[in-house]
Amino acid sequence: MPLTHENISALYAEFSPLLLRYLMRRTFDAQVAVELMAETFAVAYEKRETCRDPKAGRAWIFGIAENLLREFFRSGRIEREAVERLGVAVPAVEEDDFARIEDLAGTAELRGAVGAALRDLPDDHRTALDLRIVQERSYEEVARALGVSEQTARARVSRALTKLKDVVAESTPDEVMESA
Amino acid sequence: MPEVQSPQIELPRVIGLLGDQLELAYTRAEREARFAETPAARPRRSRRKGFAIVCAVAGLIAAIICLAGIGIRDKTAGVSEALGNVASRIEVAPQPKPSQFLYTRTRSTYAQYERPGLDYHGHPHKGFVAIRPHFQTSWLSVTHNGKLIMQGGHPTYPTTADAAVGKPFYESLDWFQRAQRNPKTRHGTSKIWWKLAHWNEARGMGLGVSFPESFDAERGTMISNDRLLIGGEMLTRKQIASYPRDPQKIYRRARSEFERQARAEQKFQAKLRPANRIQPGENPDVEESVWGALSQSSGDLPASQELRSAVVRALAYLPGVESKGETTDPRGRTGELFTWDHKGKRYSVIFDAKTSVVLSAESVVVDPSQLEFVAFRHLPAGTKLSTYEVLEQKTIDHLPRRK
Repeated sequence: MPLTHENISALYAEFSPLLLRYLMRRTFDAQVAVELMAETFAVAYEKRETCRDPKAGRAWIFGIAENLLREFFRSGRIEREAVERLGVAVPAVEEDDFARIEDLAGTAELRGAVGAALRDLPDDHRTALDLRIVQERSYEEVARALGVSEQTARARVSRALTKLKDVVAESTPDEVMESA
Repeated sequence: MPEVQSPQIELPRVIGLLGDQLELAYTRAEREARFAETPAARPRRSRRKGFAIVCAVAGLIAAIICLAGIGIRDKTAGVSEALGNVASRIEVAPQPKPSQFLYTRTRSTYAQYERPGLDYHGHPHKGFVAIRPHFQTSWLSVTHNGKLIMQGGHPTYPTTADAAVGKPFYESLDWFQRAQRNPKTRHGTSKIWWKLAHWNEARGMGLGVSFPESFDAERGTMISNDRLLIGGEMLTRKQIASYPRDPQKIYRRARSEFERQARAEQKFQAKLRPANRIQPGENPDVEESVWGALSQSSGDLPASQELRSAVVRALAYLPGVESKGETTDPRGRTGELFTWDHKGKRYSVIFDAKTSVVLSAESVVVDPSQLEFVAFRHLPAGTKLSTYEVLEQKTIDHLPRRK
């Protein structure tokens, strides 16, 4: 039986805190997370008839969110098409709500874990990361500054990022990882 | 919708507010659907595919080269002799003692194309060229590990059209950097996170990571350096000892090293999505890299005079280099000028008249229509794509204290 308006509302009631937590940990931006969640449930409503099993609702919702998230990372813009079609007025995140969203998502611990990992990186990797990512120097310049070949500079930046990625994965609780 | 209860934490109010809004929208949509069974589909907006990767172009100094296997032609005989004179002065120029450091302060600029994408406020821009200055201070020694500090400066723009797009872009960047320096700025962290997500996506790694720590781009970055860059290779002192001293061999080795790097780069680019690949002419080609490596090595390379002079002589193997005799550099210092024309650009380097160290170098647009990199073709002739100036050079006894 296809999902109905009531089923989508029930899914929102049950999974919105978990989804917001997940989106916040991926984007680190409360407003972006809220807007992605709004689009997720707008898409879910529009496509409600494609999901035939209410029990699979959670995986289905997180699948929609994952697609939107990927699109956001790829293009840098938040998909709002379904929200606009339905005319959903997405509420702005108020100042005192930021802290609650951060508590919900545990972003403080995540930030701490990444910070610690950053400090633990070998100096030459961290410097390569700093020059390339933060200062946006060309690889040629990074290579010159570090006194290595361009290939080595690329390898260092890539290894440093991979290390940080592992830390993010480790510090992400299972429930969120499983939902993805 | 029913209230969501959580025993541990107070839920953000926005969850309830958004739930109410969704409920309203669902109800409205159902009512409308009853009146019009087939709502007209809105046209899909085209999706922006570009994102902001900063792609630097052209090295600090650029260069010349030769088609494989060609030796010195008649035309280059004069160049060979002139470079020989430059090289022989290196052999008699004063050198730092083994325990000392060669202290060099340089200013360099290069034209950089910022692809169409989003600025750090998330606003789209259509792409522009900026001239970015960098200051570098180095302490290099023949026997000791050296130090190097790099600092960035404020960009300028080659045309008013570039300024119109670029200034707002960098203003958003300044805002981003200020926020980044303040660890309490919530948006500072999130924007960095966002930026990194973009960068990683560009590299096909698809991970999102943030820099919660603040890096200070203005103070510069300090780097310990126990290797030296010669002919595109990073060499240990042991490897330098066995590096060729014959100019022609040096030339061939540098060329084959840059060819190897170009192949590796090609392999890497093939893994990227087409939109993210570098465009033709965006990076220096093999010839330009060889010019850069050979013409610059006599500047701050704390190698033996024998090796430094051989590197300068190797430049003569690049066809098209011309000796232009004595001149004064942009800071009024007397030196010897060499130029090389390549793909619509003129590269030049000036060696000090007494010590033969590099005083300055630049690359200038001569014929915009011949530029390989399409995004630079709107630049007027005379635009400096890269400049390099030695501001100060001296021999000192100690490294600076680490700040």
